[in-house]
Amino acid sequence: MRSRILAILTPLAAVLLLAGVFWQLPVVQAVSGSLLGWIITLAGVAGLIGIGSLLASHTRRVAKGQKGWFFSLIALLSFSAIFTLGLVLTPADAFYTSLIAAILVPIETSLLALLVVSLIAALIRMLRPGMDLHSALFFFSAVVFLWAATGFVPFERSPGIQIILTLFNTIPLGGARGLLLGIGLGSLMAGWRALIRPSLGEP
Amino acid sequence: MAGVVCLNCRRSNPEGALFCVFCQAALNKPEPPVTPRPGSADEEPEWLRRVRERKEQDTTKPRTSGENVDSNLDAVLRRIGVTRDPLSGSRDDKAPPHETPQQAELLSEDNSGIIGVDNQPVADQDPDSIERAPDPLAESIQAVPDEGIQQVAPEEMGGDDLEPGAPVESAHITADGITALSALSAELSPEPARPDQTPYTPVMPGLEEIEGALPGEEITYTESAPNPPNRSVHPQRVSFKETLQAERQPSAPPAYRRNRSSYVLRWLITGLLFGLISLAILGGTAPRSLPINIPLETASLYESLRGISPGAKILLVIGYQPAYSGEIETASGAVLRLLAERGSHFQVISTSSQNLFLANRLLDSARRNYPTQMTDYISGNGYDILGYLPGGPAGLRGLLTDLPANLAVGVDMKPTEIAFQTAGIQKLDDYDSILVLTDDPETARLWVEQISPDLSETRLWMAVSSQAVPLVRPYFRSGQVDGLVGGLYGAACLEQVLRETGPALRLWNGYENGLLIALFTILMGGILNFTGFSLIHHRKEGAR
Amino acid sequence: MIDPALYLILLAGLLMGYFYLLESRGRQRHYRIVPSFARLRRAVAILIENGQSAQVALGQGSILAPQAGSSLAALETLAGLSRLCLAGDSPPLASSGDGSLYLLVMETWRMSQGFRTSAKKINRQVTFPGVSPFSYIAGAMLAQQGEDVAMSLITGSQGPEVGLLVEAAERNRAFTGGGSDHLLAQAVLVGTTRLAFTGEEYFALNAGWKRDRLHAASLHTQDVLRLLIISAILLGGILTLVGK
Repeated sequence: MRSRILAILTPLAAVLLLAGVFWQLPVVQAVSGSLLGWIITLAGVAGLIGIGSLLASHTRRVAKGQKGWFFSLIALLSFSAIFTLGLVLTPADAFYTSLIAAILVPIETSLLALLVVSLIAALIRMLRPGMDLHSALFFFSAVVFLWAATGFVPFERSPGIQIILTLFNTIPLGGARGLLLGIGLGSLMAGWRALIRPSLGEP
Repeated sequence: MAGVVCLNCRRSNPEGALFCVFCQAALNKPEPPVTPRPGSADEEPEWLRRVRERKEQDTTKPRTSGENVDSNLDAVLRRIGVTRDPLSGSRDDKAPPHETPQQAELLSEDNSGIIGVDNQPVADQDPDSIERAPDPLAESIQAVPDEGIQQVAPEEMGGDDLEPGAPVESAHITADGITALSALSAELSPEPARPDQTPYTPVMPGLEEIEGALPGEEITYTESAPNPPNRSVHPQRVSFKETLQAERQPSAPPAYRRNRSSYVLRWLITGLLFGLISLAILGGTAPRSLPINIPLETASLYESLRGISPGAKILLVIGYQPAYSGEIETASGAVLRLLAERGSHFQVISTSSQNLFLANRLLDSARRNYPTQMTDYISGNGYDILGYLPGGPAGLRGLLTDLPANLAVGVDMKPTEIAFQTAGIQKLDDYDSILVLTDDPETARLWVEQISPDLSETRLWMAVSSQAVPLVRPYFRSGQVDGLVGGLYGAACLEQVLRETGPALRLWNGYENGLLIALFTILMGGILNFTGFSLIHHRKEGAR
Repeated sequence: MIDPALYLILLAGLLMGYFYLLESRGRQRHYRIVPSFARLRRAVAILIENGQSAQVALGQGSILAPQAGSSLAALETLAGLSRLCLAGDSPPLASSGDGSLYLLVMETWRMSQGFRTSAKKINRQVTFPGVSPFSYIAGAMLAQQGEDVAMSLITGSQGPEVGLLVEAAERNRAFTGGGSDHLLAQAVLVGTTRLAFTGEEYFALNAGWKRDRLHAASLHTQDVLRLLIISAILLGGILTLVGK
């Protein structure tokens, strides 16, 4: 019974939403707009569920005394403090936003800096005997574009170098477009599979 | 869909599932129905049919334990040409018809069995017609102790025809012999022994109905402790036991021991980057090796900024993560400065629920870098933070259809109606420009694809991270984006045009140093890595 | 006037239906041999044999966003991998950073339980490490510690910060691989992992576990549509050069 309901509702919802995108009829727009509103609300509630799950896992770790329970306790206390302050001061308060920014920005910036170091180390390790053509091309292009970004390009104004630089700027764009087209097709087919599976009775 | 239907919830499950994916009950695959082959009844062998019929008859016939033994015993005795005195087995009140007074007298004395097959004198019987016992039984009878069988003198027997000395085809069987033969018969009986029979009864429940099952007696087992295996004698057994023992013990995940060289590499990279970049920034030297060519998209943005009217209404979109706030604040500094110079009013929204707090930080940063132009932009003056726009592309479409309804409540939990009315905004097209700040090319693409086609007079500008520039630049070239500044490089170009030393030019030397260090480290480190591995490889080859 | 995109969507659906019918009638086309899929299958087989577990990071692609396609493909990959791992009693550890995706991951996990071999239910191994991209990555890195994770599979929509997760997995001597719809993440994965799936290879990942008729039909449809798009681009380029 449930699978039959899913098999009917899923394509119906897809058709309604698509119709809202492609047809400007008032009735269609109204229905798809309402449906979209419900979906957005549900997605928001799902976000709360995720946060609840995160809190539950930290609480469980503290309660059972598992490894890292102290850091989970800090996380729970921090969450409680920020949540309480947000309720009291509201997110519009300048002090509140400054406090959050003072904590989050340095942490995330540090992680980004770690990422830079990790990527440089990974590129260094990539150059080794027996590397394949794919890795060699990747290494070569990374080095070339880093060098071009520094600005130390000899004879930059000469027409030959200009052509080479234009080529270096254009080829990645073409490659990126091709990848994006492929990703778009893959996403389209993934959506069709998700629509059709319930109709085939597959979970 | 092929699969198994769960008996619990009646839903179909995919092939290969052992438990129902819906209710987690165990799936019992239905037994394939046994369909008789066509013509199988006719092809059944005769002997098999007789066995089946006999089995059916036997299952329907009621039995008692005593009759079972008695009937078996009679069958055995008939085979060897002996009949049993009913008085020695199951006694009846009624005397058998063949009993003579002499026999009765004899039987009353020794309770023995008799005398001839079918109650006829043995001498009258054709010896060849007497059934001989099958071999196993004959062998068993051979094993019966002699004292169980007595030769009876002919004169004591009922019949007078028996010549003295004639070979006795049959024999009396004493009570002991009866017991022995009963046991033997029970052993060889085709019927299964009953549990209440003694002394041999099957102890395995459920085997009573199985035809041909041999009765067994309950056996008590005593185990002796096995000798421990000797490694020298049974090395495989010892290693197998050790492997089993090791399997039972949970093993902790192996602790990672990083090579010292990888620690050194990471610390070296970190030290170089941190040291030389900090030195360049803190040194305060004038920026060197500035870019000569200004990107077309940045020049277009500058021209567009100069053409903005005083008191313009700008929708500022915060679409970047805190990690990229440094870069985005630097990239957008000059843009905000130019807009603030013309008295523009900003209305700030965020496409991510976690990043709305960055709005205040952005404007504070711009005010610190350009204190003269942005003095008034503080604590809500000159800008409104409208809130978070949920729903991704659906939310953006909603902005087009009904802007106030999709941003009804601001970050201060108050209705945004007043802010919209004050600014004179009713729809998205009422803004003079939309400035999107993002590190993600997907966010930029979303605004271009969902909003840009429906804008008439409103300009769409972007200040993006340098990683997103190659993917956003094509949108500028196609005319869907009116201006673009990308990362620190684009901001430095814009500041050169303004002839002002802003945050980008102050950080330029550090940025250049960082790029050069990264390039140098990658090249030198890569060459060393390659050389090192080649040497190791050659050494290994030489060692072989 | 009807938007041309609608024609493309409908054409994709019709083609997929046609190829599905062909697959149902046994007229199967052979897949192109992709060495990466074989390597991935071998890695999975080894970890199952050793009784180790795998970590699958599904990213933060919301179902409402354009990244939903990537997230759906990641769910399919998780379902296929879960069935394999549960058959060997080594459940994978799944993590996602979006609420709607998290619910779908839990549902996928529940469905995969049907393929376990023991009657004892296996504890759910689905985590929600964080909300923002970097906090999600940090939480996923922490989730690896203390677990005997032998393989870290990156799927779904994730940004370049995924390089940190790969670094942590390499530090744990785990086999790393995966793909994403994000171009920057693809670049990072190519440079840091042992097995990277770029572009459309990522959406064909699920075909590496088991031949699924619907999946096969969608791959054939992708091939046809790709040829159509290439033809349209070339034709448009030629016409532009000619001046039409």
